[in-house]
Amino acid sequence: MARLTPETERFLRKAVAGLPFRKRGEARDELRAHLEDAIEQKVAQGSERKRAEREAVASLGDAAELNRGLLRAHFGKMWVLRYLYSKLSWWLPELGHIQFRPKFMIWTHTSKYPHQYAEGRYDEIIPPLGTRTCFTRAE
Amino acid sequence: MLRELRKGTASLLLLDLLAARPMYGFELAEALRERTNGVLTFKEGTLYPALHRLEAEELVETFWQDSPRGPRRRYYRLTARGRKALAERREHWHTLVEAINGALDAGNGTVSP
Repeated sequence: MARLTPETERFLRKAVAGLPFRKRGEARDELRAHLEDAIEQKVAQGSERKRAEREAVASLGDAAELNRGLLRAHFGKMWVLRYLYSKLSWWLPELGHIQFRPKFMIWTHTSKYPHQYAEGRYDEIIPPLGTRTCFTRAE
Repeated sequence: MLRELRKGTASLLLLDLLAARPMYGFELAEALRERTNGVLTFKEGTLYPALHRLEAEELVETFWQDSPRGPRRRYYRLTARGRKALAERREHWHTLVEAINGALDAGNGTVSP
């Protein structure tokens, strides 16, 4: 399987978002195969590989439009609900980048050790077991 | 009306192409381009939703096949229901074309100023 650029992978993820799990994998593999065929054809015609990949992706049109078409095909009139769900699923990974940890740690420590905090005796504050991992995003 | 006509035409063409033998998406797009000398082409972004719709209607079924050269491909083939639908849609299409031709011929191409 040829390696595609991260932009193309993102395009594929967007195009199949919201489809049922098994169908999503199949649709992504199908679109990926289409792109690989189109890239190979363009390269054979003398195009440079990166350019061929960009053109192949462009020929599939807008990822959101393709996504709406696939959702309509699979869910009929209920496609709007799945579309909203898929939109949300694009944003959720982005929310993972928000760091909750500092605020949470301060809140925990000030409530459990108010005097130590007020008097600046930070060395006496021992982080309670488990709080470190509560809202910390795995690297 | 035009949109509906286009949508119906796409599924008719896909079913007709698949009547000959099972094909995968890219192959279908190329086959149509060749068959119509490039006059009709599937905008690729609409090809896959149309194929998936036909699958949901059980007019086609799919299977995966490894390729000796290139990626593993998802082939589409007509079901018995698909063959029946193709025959019906072909008939509807000919009736529609005859009716439109008849209407155009009756007008003799005259356009009022």
